[in-house]
Amino acid sequence: MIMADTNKIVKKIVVTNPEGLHARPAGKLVKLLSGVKSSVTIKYKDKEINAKSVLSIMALGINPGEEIEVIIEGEDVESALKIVEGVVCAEGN
Amino acid sequence: MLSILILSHSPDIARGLKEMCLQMISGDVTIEAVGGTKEGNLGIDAELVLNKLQELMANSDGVVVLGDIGSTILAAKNALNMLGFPANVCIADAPLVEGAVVASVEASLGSPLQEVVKKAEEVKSLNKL
Amino acid sequence: MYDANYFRRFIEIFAKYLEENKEYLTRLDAAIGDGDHGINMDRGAKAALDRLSSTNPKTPGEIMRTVGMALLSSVGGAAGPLYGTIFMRMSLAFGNRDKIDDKNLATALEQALLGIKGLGKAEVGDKTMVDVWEPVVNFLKENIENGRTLPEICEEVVALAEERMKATIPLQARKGRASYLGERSIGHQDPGATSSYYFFRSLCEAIGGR
Repeated sequence: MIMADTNKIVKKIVVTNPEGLHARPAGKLVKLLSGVKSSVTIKYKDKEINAKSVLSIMALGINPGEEIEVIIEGEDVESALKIVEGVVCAEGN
Repeated sequence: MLSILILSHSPDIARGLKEMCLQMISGDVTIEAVGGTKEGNLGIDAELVLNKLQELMANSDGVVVLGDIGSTILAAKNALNMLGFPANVCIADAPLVEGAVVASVEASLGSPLQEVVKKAEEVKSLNKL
Repeated sequence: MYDANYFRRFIEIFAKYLEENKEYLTRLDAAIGDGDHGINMDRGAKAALDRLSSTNPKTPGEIMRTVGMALLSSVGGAAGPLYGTIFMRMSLAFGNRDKIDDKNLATALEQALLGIKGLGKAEVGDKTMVDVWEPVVNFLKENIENGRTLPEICEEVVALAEERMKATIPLQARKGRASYLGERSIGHQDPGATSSYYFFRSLCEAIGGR
């Protein structure tokens, strides 16, 4: 489900990356998002973190099969979402 | 391209952390680790620290050094003093594991030396719970 | 000009002094430190000679680096990093020159002094090796800038180093382990200042001007 106005996307995503969002995918996500201008927030359980911070992502300890909510705000929300989905829903590295 | 030098009292920590950092980055960062004494005991080999540091200085644009406790930091400070405080080497005042991970990722993004050090040092204020 | 042979000779003479005075340095250190300076420095100097003969470095800079690394890794306590720093800094100042002139030498010694001051944060009067190093290096620098050469001022350098070494006796230690003793450090000659005297004496004797 996408609730989008012009430059905000909020989307719930199930993590299917078999590694979850641990070290390697966390590093990859941060690297890819470094080229994105929008802010990217991941909500998981009661926590909200900046998806451009590798330690914050790792601190969440998200396993495969869990659901996260992604909040993207800014001028390039679509490409940011593609990146997040690309990593979160990857089938491997 | 920057490089990261990990220093630990423990050879296993040094090796393991280097491996962890390497797995988290894709791209142009050299990560080296020195841990333990010449005999392989807990401690630090000051000579190896100096040699690795000079090697990294020669082959990259800058070096971020991270150490665990006490004498690894002292060895790094001594090495910098011996080399006359080269401008392209910084010791990051950060917890070793978290600092090294952040520094590696940040360096792989192509950030400049000071920015990488700053990001690594910000780790100190990060809550785990 | 000072070539690789000169620096080898210097190291050999320095090592000889450290060996001959091992017990003396240890006795000095036992009075105000942890009593290992003589044994440590002798072991370090022997390790340095071993490495010089096994790796056979060709330039003055490489020789000094080899010695510095050997001292750094084989001399325990504070002396290893301090003497390691002296030789490493000199090595960097020499670069890959085949021959070192008096100005290069003065610059290198000045760099070494800055290195040990940076490491130990000691100043003149703290009863450390800096008490010998700083006045001797300043004397060398001044004279060499005025066109004199080390062979010409050798006698004066050795005399000054000796005088400054002895001048540490009435001082109260303010740096290093000896500073824990407070006033009880007064009346003893500083072991680091003493090994530094051997350093400068060796530097002069390697010329053969003495």
